[in-house]
Amino acid sequence: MSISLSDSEGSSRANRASGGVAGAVHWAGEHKSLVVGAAILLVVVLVAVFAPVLAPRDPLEQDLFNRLQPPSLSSEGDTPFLLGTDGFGRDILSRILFATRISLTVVVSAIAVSSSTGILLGLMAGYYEGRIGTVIMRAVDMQMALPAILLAVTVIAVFGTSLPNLVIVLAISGWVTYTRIMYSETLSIKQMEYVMAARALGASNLRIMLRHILRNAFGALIVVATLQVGNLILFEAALSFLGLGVPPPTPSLGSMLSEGRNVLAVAAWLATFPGMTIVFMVLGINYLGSGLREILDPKLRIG
Amino acid sequence: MSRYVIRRLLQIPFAVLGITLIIFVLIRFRGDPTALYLPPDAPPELREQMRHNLGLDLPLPVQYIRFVSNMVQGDFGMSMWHRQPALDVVLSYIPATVQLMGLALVLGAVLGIVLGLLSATNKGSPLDMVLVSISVFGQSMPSFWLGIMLILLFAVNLRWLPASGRGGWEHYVLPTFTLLMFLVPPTLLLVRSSVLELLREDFVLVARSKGLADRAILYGHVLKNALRPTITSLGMQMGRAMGGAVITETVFAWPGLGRLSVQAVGNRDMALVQASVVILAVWVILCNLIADVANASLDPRIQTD
Repeated sequence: MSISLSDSEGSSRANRASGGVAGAVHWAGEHKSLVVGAAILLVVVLVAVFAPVLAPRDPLEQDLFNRLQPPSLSSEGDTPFLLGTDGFGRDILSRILFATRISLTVVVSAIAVSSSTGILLGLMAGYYEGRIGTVIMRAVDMQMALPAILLAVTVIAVFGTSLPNLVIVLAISGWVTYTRIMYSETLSIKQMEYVMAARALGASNLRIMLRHILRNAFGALIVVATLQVGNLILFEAALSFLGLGVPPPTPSLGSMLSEGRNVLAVAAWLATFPGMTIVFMVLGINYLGSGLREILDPKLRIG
Repeated sequence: MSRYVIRRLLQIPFAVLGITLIIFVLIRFRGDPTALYLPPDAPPELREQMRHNLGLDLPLPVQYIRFVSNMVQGDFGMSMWHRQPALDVVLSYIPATVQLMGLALVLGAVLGIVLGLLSATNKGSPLDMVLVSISVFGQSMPSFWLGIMLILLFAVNLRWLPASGRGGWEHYVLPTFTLLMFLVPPTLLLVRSSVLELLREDFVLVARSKGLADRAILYGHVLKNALRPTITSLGMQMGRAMGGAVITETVFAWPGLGRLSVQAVGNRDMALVQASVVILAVWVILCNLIADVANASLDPRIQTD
């Protein structure tokens, strides 16, 4: 068995090596959604990282003589407002660039918190089962009965809006997904022969959990985390739209849309561009997620 | 079957208790509630008097029991903004939400199942590709943005439909369509993939070799089996639908419970926040129960006793 395994691995590696550029192009053609998604995400991440360099103006700088200016390529000697200005005369392009940066930062922090907590709990619930497992999985059930939006409303009503509170709300709404996946993965992986072999060799519980179970569940977890980035970007935008997310004057795509809704009749561009940015980001991440799923988790592939 | 229903019904109070506990803990975290009612320079004796009247000098478990027993009796406290009992305010906003959400949920379930079935039986056709692309796009689009763009096109530019508020049928068109773009895609994609999967099953082969017509196989065997995961997911989607309701009501200024709860947060009206969150959570729990019971009656394999 080990011979045939290494054999097929060797030949596929050889194929790729001999293929060179042509091989890479062929691979990209077979994984279109992965490549498209990764390209979009790369653009979004670059924009987020270099927002201070790319932005033509200060996103908070108000210019009351230039309120609600439509998008234009020219202006008298000054930097033009490429995507127009908002009700305070702030440059929309600059605000979108910074909002992207803030949205990604908030979402990635929330996923770091929720995935580490969720994975740990799911691993413990699946590995030890018994009373620990029951308590954790009942908590999961309860969390799932409480819709994320209601939790957000309650937490923000009590603690008010701030970036850390937003991260906490997103993290609380997200951990359940990881716990459920990790729980079911652990239940099945711990029955595998290699886990029994490791146990027979005297490996500690911690070592088995981290080295064998967690590592083998990694593919499924990466797919879930990627798709969750998209969902949380939408959720963050929705909360900011409702005034429960990023507090003003910090730029955020959701709150820009909320302002845009109020001046829709006179300044439609204000609601148009931030929305397009969200669609672009989320579409890219969803493509990447389904591409990753095809590679990492063939079980989950949908016909 | 009836024992299963009773057991699931008995779980409801525990789920509701869990939610009230979370709300209670969060509110106690907030600090001294008398700060909301009294000016900062109020004399300490008055503050102490108020703490006593509100029962805040009692041990925490006793406070929680009083909190829950008041709720059970329908006393959620006074809404400071509306100057009415919070429950009365919430109840008066329920009809608007039920009308909009009921319409969207029923239409969404029917459209999701019918279009998913059409998509699966015409796999690879232009129709299938259009439906799948719209679904993927719909899932990547913030529904409030769609709502705003619809207002821009149909209310501001074309002036065909009203932009906001509640009234005749024309007020329902845009909010319902926005909700459908949010609710239909997951159902459609799920029905499509489970029908495609079931069509490869042995029992379909058997039915076909018996000489059963394709139509009979599809409706008699495949659809019935595809409905089970769909019903579960529709039940699970209730939480998501609630989010959709809050957002859609806000975009279209629809006078419902979702918009009310967001406004209550803005007004720092805690009694109203509590009342609307508890009522909405009970509604979600009930919907999950209905989905579970419907599922159990469809699938004899589910252990119901």
